[in-house]
Amino acid sequence: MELTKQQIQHLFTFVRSKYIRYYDVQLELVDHLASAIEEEMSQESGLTFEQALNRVYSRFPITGFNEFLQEKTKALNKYWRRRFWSYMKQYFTPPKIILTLLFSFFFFYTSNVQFHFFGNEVNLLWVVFIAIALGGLFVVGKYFPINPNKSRLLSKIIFIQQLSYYILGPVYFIGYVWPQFLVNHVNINNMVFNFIMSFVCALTLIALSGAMTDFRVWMQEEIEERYKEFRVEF
Amino acid sequence: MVNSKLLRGNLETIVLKLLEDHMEMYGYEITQKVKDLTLNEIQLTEGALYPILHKLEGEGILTTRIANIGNRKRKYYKLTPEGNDRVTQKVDEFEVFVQSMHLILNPKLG
Repeated sequence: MELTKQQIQHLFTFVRSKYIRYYDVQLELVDHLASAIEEEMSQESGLTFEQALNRVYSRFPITGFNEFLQEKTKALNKYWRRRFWSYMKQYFTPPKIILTLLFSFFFFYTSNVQFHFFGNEVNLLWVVFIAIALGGLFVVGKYFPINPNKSRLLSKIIFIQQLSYYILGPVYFIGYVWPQFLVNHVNINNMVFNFIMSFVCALTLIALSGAMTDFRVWMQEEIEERYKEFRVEF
Repeated sequence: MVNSKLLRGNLETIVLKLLEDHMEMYGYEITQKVKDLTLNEIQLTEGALYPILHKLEGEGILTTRIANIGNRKRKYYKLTPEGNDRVTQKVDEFEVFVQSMHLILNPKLG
């Protein structure tokens, strides 16, 4: 026997009432519940839909669907991290490592160009760094949906989080954490600091270019293939 | 029914082998198939199956597609090329383990 449209809708409402707000997670749970209920009801003719639902739900762990959601979140974090890392890894091996080194040396060169800014001597590398940081904020901001209802795919939320770590993480480290740590111990214009900062700028630029090309395509493909109703223009 | 501790260490092997044999399956189908093949000796609970499926998907061992099946959508799981390699590895490991256990449990046969 097959459940009606209304019963399927009831299952979506049921799953939402158990704090599963993401459609991509709801979908799998609803299908599982529906398949199990259909089987229970075909095997026991007097069984109502509600009775079958209670029976099937009782087979889930005592925490309900929370564990399902937690495991799904962990798996999605791993999935997107793996994809982003596979993209970045290309730039640590030939031939693209040449590009990484070229960018790094170019940015390092800019650390030798000094200019005066409100009475302080600043090197051009900091300007480059701020430009890349602002670019990163702009690109990551573009992926956040204007309409909060559009963030109903867990996969997309995790994708945006991972993207933020790759683009804004290094920026945060170089722009805030490290200077805070070193400012009393090392001259902020010293060569080692400048080289590391150049390398981080190069990596962030590579991640940014990925965000504007490959990463966008990945998310568009994911939504196009599976969740057309959540199609969003990036 | 099989001891749950024995089962826990072999869940991945079970899921991978079934997907190798059946090309593409959905979650509930996997629980039912295991129950049918083992004559109810092994009952995969939802709490055990879905963490494994999601973990393997995250690792790139499984890929998924969503299909319309009339009144709802369904997620199917399928092995990737890396998944095919993992099945072979896990099945070989299990067979070595079983042979080793036989040698311990039946030393005369050794």
